[in-house]
Amino acid sequence: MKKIFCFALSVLMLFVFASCGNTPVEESSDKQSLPLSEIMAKIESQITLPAMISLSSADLSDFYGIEETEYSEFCVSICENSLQKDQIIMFKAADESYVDGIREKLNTIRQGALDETENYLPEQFDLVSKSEVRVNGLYITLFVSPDLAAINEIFDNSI
Amino acid sequence: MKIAKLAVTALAVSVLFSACNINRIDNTVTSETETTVVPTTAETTTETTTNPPVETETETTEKIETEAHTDEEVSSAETQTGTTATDNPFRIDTNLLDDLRDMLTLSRPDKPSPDFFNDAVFVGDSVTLGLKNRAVSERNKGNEFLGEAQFLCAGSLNYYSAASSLSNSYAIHPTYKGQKVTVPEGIKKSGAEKVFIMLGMNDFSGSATEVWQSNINKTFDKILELSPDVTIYVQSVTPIANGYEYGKFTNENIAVFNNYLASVCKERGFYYIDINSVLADETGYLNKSYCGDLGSGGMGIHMSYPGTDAWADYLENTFCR
Repeated sequence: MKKIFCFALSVLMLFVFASCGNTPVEESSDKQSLPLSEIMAKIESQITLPAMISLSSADLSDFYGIEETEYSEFCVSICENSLQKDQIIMFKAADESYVDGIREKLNTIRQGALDETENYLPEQFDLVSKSEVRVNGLYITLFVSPDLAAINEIFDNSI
Repeated sequence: MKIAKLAVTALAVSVLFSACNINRIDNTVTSETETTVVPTTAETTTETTTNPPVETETETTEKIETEAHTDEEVSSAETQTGTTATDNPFRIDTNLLDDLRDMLTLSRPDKPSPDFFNDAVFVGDSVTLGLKNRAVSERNKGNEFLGEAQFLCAGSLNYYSAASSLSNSYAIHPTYKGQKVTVPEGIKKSGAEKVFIMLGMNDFSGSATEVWQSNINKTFDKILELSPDVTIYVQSVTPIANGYEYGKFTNENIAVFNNYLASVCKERGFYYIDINSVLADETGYLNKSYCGDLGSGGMGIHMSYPGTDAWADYLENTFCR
């Protein structure tokens, strides 16, 4: 009797441990997201952009005041022509504590473009006016483009 | 009853529109607490102004006349700038230019040195933004371009804005590391020891002469107040391409402006770099191969990559030789 009882208890314990191991792990939503470089490649393949310049991390520090410690990924391109304000700016913050800071700095960049263009480049002013700094989890973006809706859709479907 | 409601609604809407009609025209009121001379809004808008100020008697008498030149002056000018003094009707006073060129020659290193620009900051408007973009593009490919020079630029930037505080809502200010700053503050924050400044394209055609002259001097005063040890290199305003002049926005007025800049440099001991001549064709207009905004909607003043390359090449290899 004791042997049967011990055997049953052992089997029961086996089941308990097995069920712990089988607890499904929730998949992070980031696992589904494409790297920002691939999102940029998708944008470039589907949208006709003007000639653009890619910024380096040093440029991000110098121009935007956004330091490498604040983000885990970035992809930033601006129009080569100084008279056009087309921009593709994407960041993935290192963690939630950096999201607001990056958003604030991108808003400063956007406001600067509005100030510059308001009085002498009305078409560019309209373009920048339609843009907005968007936050989705750890992702912060600023797209300035006549194809804003299409670019937003590509990005939203990629994360 | 419905008609009465409709009438009341219409009245309320019309009252609302009247209250919201914000008039930004008058910015000469004394709400501006600085002593900076404040132009009217019509004067601050350059490229789109439809009502340029009436040319004053002072301005008409300041037009530069072409002088007879000695062979030595012509030869010197050709060596330095690639243009001839007699061909370009928009050149500044040649004697003044020669004096300033002598000062500049004494200041520069013996051999080309991109490192010369490592502690430099370039201040400018959308024309210099083109130089900045070229620098970013080239440096990110691993190529040298003006050493590690920094840039403090904004489209529409002018001497009026550079002399203004951040509280002046009519002024344009550049950003430094993501923060809006005044030009003098940005120079100080950058830690630069050399300041290459090119402003004026958004000053001369929209402001009266005494206004932009005052703003030029106030800008230099404020730069030196915050950064007394910097060396200032004033770059002349670049030319307009043929066919793109209008109203007061002319190469002749650029020459008047540059002449004044040169005289300030001589008086205050700043260096003067005649970039205007470097980028002009033989008739004094912006060389069209250097211009990146020709055609419909273009302004005829911004540089193409060959233009920015010629500019940088002059600074690195001629100025710094």
